[in-house]
Amino acid sequence: MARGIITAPQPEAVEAGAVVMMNGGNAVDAAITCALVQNVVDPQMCGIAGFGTMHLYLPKKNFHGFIDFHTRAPASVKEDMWEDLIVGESRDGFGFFLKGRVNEVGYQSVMVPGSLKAYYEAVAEHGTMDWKDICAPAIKHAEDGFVVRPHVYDFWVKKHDNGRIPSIDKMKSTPAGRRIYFDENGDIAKVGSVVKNPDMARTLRRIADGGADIFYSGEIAEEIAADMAQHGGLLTYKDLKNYKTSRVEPLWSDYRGYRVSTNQPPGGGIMVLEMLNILENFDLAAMGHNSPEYIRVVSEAMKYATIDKDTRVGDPLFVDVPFDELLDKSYASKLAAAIKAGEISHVERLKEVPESQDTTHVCTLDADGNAVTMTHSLGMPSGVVTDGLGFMYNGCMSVFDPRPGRAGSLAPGKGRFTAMSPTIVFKGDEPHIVIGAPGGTFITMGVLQGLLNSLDFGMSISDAIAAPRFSTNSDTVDVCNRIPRFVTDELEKIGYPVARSYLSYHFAGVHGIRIDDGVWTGAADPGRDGMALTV
Amino acid sequence: MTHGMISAPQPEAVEAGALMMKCGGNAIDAAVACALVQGVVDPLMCSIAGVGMMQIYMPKDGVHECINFAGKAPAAAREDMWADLIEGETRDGFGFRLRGRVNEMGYQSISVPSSLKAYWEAATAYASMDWADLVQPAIDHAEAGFLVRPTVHAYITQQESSLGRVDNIDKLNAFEATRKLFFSEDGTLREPGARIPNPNYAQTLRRIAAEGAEIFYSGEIAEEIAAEMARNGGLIALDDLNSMTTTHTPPLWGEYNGYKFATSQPPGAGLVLIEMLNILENFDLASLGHNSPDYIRILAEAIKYGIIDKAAYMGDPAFVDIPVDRLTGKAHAKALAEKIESGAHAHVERMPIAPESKDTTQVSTIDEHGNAVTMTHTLGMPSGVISENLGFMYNGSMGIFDPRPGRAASIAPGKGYTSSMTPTIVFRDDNPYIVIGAPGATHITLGVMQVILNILEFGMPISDAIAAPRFSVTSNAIDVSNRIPRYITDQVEEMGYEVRRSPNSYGFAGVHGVMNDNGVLSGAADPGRDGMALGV
Repeated sequence: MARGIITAPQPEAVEAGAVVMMNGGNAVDAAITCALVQNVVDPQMCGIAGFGTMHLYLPKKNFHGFIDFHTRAPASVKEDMWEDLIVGESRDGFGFFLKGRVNEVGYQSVMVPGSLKAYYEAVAEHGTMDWKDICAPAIKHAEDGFVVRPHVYDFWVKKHDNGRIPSIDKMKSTPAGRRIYFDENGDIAKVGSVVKNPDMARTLRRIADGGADIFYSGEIAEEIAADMAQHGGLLTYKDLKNYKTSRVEPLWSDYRGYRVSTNQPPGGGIMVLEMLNILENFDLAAMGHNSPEYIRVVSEAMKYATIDKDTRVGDPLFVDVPFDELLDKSYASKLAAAIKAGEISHVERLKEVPESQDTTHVCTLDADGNAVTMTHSLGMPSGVVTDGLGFMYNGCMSVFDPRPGRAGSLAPGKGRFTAMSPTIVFKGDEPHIVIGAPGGTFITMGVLQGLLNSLDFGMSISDAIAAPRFSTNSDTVDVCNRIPRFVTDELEKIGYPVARSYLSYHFAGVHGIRIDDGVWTGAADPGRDGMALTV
Repeated sequence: MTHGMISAPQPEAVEAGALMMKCGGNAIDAAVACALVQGVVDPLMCSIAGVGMMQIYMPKDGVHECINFAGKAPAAAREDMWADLIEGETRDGFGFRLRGRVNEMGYQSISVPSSLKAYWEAATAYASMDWADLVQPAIDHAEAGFLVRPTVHAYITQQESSLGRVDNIDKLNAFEATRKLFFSEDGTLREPGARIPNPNYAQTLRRIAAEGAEIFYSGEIAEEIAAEMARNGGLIALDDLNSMTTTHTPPLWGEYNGYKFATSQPPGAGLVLIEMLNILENFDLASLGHNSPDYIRILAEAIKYGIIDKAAYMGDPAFVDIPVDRLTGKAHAKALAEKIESGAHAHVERMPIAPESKDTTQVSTIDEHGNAVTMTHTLGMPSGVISENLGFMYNGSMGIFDPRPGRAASIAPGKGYTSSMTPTIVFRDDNPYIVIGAPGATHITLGVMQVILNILEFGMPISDAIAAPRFSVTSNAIDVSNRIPRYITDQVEEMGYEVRRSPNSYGFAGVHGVMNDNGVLSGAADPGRDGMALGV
């Protein structure tokens, strides 16, 4: 009997989690061990100073809920603090350029970190292993060094056509970052080279001994606060000490008899549910997978969910989200009727910064039926590494509107919508699909298509995840290069602008596990480096 | 999904092939249309001036043949022509550095262009559609421009110089017509996502569409090529083009646990595939577990024996007498299997021969009539040379020869070179079951073999069989994909093997295949490249 299954974008992290289950740990132990290794081997995708959302299903404990660890603006933030620094809008109309790029890179871009607290609490409350053992593989990878994988390197050197700062420039912004990631000539580590991070190993060792407390109220908290104060950061000791994860119930809906549980706002689960509710009104399988009609119908559902997200969903602490209406089946069937009538909806483009794709994910399932699906991230990497600590901080502040008096304006303690949507689909009372994805605003679209491919088209989880995807969160249908031209030609004929990506694998990086009568299968998105492993 | 299924590394080419079958064409129409588009949208991997191997199976017409167009040295080539230019071996011990890098790039590196003739012969003998219709999608893509896909860009920018070879980007920069195509006016390489029109290639293809292959081998284009070669010190003469012939042979047959399979004759590597599978037939692989330490050990040893025999006996059959029957015999395999069972480690002598490059491509098709085509074609290594008005890049295969006179792989006029190309069809109950092949140089046979085993031994669907992590053995060390866990390779190391972990999750050839499982067609493209399988 296999003990567990795990999937994530980093083979090293998958293996660490798998070994945990092989040695008797549960799905929670495996997920957090994996997450900590992800911090080390994909250090711009996630980190202990990042944020995320963790979906836990623990049937023997009768527990099903979320540890949400959304990042919050530091208390010292002022609504108008950047108003005078606005230089212009970014080239694509999304986001703002500020003098000194203070919202994108450097100490002011750092929001209150949540990840480590969530990892620690999950193990303390639901794990079976010692925290020290959970940390050990990450420490070893930091000490021995991690091998630069293709996806890591691509992210580092990728040029952003919208004028945002490339990661490579951010990573150069502190002496510690330069020391870790660049050689004496100033060249960034190449694919296949080994990057050692002894400072991160030391920090993780201190955390292994001191728990999350050392980071939130102990020595490391003091070191962080001192470094922030010295460099004009907004994050303080008090912000760290006051940081709390949120405990929330899953958000539920059903789809063709399956029960679907996902995360609450400010996460993206509500979009997934709204789209499924709309699409339940169509016989998708009869349309044919990725046929013009299928893409049209699913695209319209994506657009309606985007419109509702943009206008009615936000951080529930700051926005009153109309859950009942958005999740109402009759609301969905009204939208479906418009789609059936051939209406083409219109998505207003908002002046907001899109989420970046530097996010990661892990799904685990163990022999006791425990399941974890967690998405975690740095938002956008701040580039800041405190001397001696080794990890990079999130750089989430750029998601706010620097102009005062707007819905997206800065405010102390404020969070922001994220598309992250770790989801578990139940067949009867048993989990059937455990899924999630990194990929910014594409996340909900990727998770949706992973689910439809599996539920409506009966694809294996590997095919469901590898199948070509599209994403429609504006009036344009974005398609990956594996969707044939003879299909997109038909879409253009009925009035849809189509933008073809040069990428064959795109629109989120979906990772998932499927359970059929006790048989587990798992898959990692081929567009990243990952794998699924059963042990 | 009634007409057919096609798989290849370039979505644009797959679509062109699929549309042929959708419009009533057969698997040969699809393969040829696909191959021609591949030359346009993956211009460093293949072209009409490349080389390759193709296997065609048409049960209703009683056709089952291999077209070998693996390339030959021009008549002007001399055994000692580069002997004085040898500066040393490349840093990895594979291949030689010559002064001026004449074997790696430029006009002298070009062997006789062969691909177009093979496409043409397949089309005129077996296709159901007009030649001009098969060429049209390639013309359209050349005109509209090809999209710089991730693997196109990665191939151009990959570091070869650290191994002592010329970087591809430098080859592209060295020739005027090539530079104009791949670089912006400010001298920067065109980025992924850029669209590059190639009107000269479109024009060349238009002439070929109208006149057939003849214009390229004995007509106007042949004269233009010969004139350009003469002007630039190339070895290819009009006569080489005039007298260029492909070889048509029956396939080489093997059998694995009751599955008969047809693969490439020498100088292709089909016999190595047969030998390795013959060895492996002596083991119960499924019970070992997929990619378990013992599975890796046994495959690695079988691969090593394949490499050893390949190094000892393989060559251009016109120049070397290859003991094919013995090497593909079950007795030979049984003796080697016994050595593996005893735990012996075979020893591979490093061969100082130039490696094949990774710039190769593949198309696998099957249609509703049961016809199947698997074709591997390539530029060998890109020469970098594009004739100003012709638009396509020439192969740079001459670098595969040993520049030292008096060796088995030395240069000779009209001599061919060995290749790992292994376009293969596995049969079940006399019907094509798996139609498969791969680009990836010396990894090709190992990639094809692992995918065949994934299907036959482990019952994987073809998409999983192709996506599953692979390992490779080209020396005494075992190279593994990063998706093979460390707790597995730790045990392989404990058995005394050197394990080299790749930073890549995919790799060791790019396998592309289609399957016919009792009338249900499926297919898959290697996720390590950009491709897809498409059923229409």
